[in-house]
Amino acid sequence: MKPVQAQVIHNYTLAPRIFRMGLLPLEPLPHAVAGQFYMVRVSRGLDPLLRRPLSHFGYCRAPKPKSSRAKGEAALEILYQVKGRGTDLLSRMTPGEHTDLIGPLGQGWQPEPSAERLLLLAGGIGIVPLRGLADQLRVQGDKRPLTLIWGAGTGSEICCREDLEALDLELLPATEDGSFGHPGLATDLLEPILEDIGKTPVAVFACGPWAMLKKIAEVTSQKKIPCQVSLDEFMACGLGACLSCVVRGRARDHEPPQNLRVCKEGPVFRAEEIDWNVR
Amino acid sequence: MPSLSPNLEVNIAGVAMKNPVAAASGTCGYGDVYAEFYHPAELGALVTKGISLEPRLGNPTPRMAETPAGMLNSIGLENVGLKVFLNEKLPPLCDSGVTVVVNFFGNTEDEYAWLAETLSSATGVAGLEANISCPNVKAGGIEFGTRPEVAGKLVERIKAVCGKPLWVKLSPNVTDIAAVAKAVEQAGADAISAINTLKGMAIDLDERKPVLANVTGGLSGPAIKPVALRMVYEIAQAVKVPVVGVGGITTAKDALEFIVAGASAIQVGTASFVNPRAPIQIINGIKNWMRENSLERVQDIIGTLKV
Repeated sequence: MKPVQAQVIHNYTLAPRIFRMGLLPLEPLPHAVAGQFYMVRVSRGLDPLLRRPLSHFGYCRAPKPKSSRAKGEAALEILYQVKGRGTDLLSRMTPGEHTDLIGPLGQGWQPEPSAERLLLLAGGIGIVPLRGLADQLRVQGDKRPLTLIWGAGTGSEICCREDLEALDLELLPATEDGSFGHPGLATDLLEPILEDIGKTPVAVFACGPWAMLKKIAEVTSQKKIPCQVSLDEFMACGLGACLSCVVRGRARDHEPPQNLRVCKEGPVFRAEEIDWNVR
Repeated sequence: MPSLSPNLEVNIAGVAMKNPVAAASGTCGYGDVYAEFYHPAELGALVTKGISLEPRLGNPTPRMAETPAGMLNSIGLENVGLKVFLNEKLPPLCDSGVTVVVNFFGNTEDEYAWLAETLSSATGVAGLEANISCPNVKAGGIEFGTRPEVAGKLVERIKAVCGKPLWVKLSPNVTDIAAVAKAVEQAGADAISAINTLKGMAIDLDERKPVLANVTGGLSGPAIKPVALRMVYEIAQAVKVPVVGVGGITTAKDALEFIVAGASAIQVGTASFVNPRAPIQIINGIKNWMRENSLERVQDIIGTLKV
């Protein structure tokens, strides 16, 4: 593995501060499992110094070259929210520019073959690895019913709806300001929908703020429903070296507690692996 | 005639290195994290994550904050502890063929001595690096490293039981680093590594809160290179033992500046977080620079600064 140069093929805004970027790697990368991420450089110089961890959103085709090729080359997509200097610089990159990235990294979503229905819960920009998952399942020919509960501050943040519709999933939006879908939190909808699903074996996949994931972990644990979560922490390296991104693992019988690296043992964990009370 | 293959070998107080580039403690785990990017044996040496007597979980998160051309960390010396290190981490590291230097720290002089004795008798360990300088954990070193007489007394104690070459890594958070360097040299240190991170702070203005849960942390990366370079120069002027330069080294040019300033070897730390292959590129860059300048032995460059 090594840092690989990639060309920006598109980088446009989908919602306030949310951007969709296509990157064409100039050397082949391993195929990503949904839930994995890339460490992407946002500057050529020494400042900002660190790469940004950005989740795999999906694959796309680069624009067809003018030469005779039948179709464009396979490119990857990331979706990101501008939060600080690094993502701001990223949002200013234009097609044709180059950056470099390392990846795909970390552990992606597990397939949950025994579930007959899949329930996806996203909080805000937590949609990224979940759209990645839905896309991967459909590409693999998985026809199980998918329900996506997506909570956000306001309706305009519930973006890329066409992409989601194309994945044949049921979208249940929730907004804190009540401008779109359920007025309130995504987690408000969890228990009612689980009641609705009844005895059909279901698996839950969630990505969002800690408090949201903690709540989902509690509900699914009580109901003995398999639940995977994708965590987000500040990272310096993304490779397991710096130990910046640790979370506390749930202590097993008679074993001392351990830290888990979000970049290496995660970012996707089984909800029961995490000690949700240590924060 | 310039040599096609310059001789990069250095010897740091009995630790033989095939080139002067080591991976710095706390940035390369136990030698297991960059396996996909290069073979550890390509390095001159690998300095492990700091080992304590008992396992440590470290500080609460957030424990990293990016700052201009650098980063702050308050990891809090998280490590697997002596027992797991010896049983699980050290054997595969030694098998990789890299020269292993084990970084360690204690809460008391007794702990330092016990760790030095145990680690230096372990098979495959080429040398030890005592961390008397980590600024993060109150009990983890700051008391020892900041006063020359306290540092000297500790090193004397370690040296009495340490069966391998002892490097002592100094804190930059002092008024006169040369004085600390002289004190640890007098106490028997075989080499001096400098510098550890600079104590710093970052604030979230909107929240009016420190970014790090620990409030303060250690600054590393290119931002600290000029400070590290100055300190390595001052130490090299003050002591006769070899100096291992560390602090913000990102390129071969940085590394060569430290060597010219008096470092006999250098360590690469934060640069590996951004570019995992940085140490290897630095080794190659040093080689190329030597060829271009018709230099045959890296040893001949050490401390050749014209002031």
